[in-house]
Amino acid sequence: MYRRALSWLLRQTLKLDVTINRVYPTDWNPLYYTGGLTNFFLLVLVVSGILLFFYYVASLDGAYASVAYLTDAVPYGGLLRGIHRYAADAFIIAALLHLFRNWFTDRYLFSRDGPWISGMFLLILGGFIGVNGYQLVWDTRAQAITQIFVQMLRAIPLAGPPLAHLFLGGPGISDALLPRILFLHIGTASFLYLLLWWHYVRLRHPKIWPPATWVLTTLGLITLLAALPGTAPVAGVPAQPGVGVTSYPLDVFFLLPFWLTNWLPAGVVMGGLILLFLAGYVIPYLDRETEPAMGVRHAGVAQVIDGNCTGCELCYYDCPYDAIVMVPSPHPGVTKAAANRKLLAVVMDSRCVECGICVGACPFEALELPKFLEADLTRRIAQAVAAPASQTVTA
Amino acid sequence: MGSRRVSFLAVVALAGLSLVLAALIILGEVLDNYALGGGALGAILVAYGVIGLFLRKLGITGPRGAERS
Ligand code: SF4
Ligand code: SF4
Repeated sequence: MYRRALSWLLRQTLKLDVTINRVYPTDWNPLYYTGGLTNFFLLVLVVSGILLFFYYVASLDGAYASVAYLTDAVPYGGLLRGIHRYAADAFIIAALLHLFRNWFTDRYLFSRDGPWISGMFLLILGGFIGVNGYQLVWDTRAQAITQIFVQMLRAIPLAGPPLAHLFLGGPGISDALLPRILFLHIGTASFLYLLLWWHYVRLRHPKIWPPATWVLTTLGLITLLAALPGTAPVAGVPAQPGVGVTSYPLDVFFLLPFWLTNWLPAGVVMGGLILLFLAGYVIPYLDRETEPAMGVRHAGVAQVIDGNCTGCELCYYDCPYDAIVMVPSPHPGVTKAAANRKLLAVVMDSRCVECGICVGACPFEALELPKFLEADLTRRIAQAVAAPASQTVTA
Repeated sequence: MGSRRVSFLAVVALAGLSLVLAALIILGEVLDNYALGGGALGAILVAYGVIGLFLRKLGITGPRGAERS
């Protein structure tokens, strides 16, 4: 059932790709750059956030006034806030598209579980930073979501009450709160870059930046949205200590869990969120083996046939898992083409996932998967082509 | 009308629109109307992005020569 659903989703994803490729050149298809776009929106958030930081006063009395001053009295201050806010929404949209796309296209298997796990952390922390951003304004909405957030924290068994105390900086809301939230907002955002390093470290050609046309278009759309009357974020009404807030404007990208507390106890919502993310972490390890006829499993890590390697570096560029390094050749190769080589390819066993891509990349028959030789592969393809559709071919 | 001609006309029209938007940015600044200036700035960026697409369709920009088929 799970596999069939994913296969269907894969087909729909590919259909969408084809549709978009009719309008945009394939190397500009935005769906191929969901990760790069997320990264770009993060940069917009960091730059606009640094500018906002100069005006922000992290105290219960001063926070709202500083935000209102920035919005109303500083030239382009309201626009800047709008850009920060809509870039945050765009970040979440792009991150979710990135997650679903990689899920449906199987790009989380083998050594790509690292990017998947780090990606889940990036998403959770991105959402957390967004909530912090709403709290920093310290209007009635901030007050309401802070109260709900503390209830959610307290609902966590054992660790909850001390965590809530740590978050508040005391038993209740005091002037210790906003500096803490500001630290969580900026500190966690900085930590995202460390996670991004983990996200990229095992990928050979990560597309970390979108094409210029998408940088311009998305930044333009965010700026346009921020400037449109009625859509720029207003600071609401200042928080009123001791007053219970019953309604506030909702941002569906960050505040949905808070909205759910209208019907469900805070503890249940918190439990649901934790379960949702745990389920996300499990995805790479769910059984999704390919059909035996198609599967290349346990083929043994790729081996370089020393005598044939010419040091051309094609395998080095093609290995998606960064498992091949080029080293100075300790001795000449055996074949004529390899006799004058300067470099030799070496496979790092711990990184190789036995995918066989390098075998296809090498024009000099200098790579092989020891338990899955090229001759076997050719034979199996020939068998598969010759066999009736209902019959599967196994090794 | 061929698609090259459509792309060419789109680039010309968008470049003209960008000129108007640039004037609006200046007007917004003169009038201290930051929403107007900001909106025009956003719109001009979008226009540039779309011009980039049409220039690509005309074959004037990317991909690099070595990658062309
Ligand atoms: S089989 Fe080749 S391409 Fe695949 S991970 Fe190993 S070294 Fe890289
Ligand atoms: S592609 Fe083949 S010949 Fe070229 S460096 Fe890799 S192993 Fe050597």
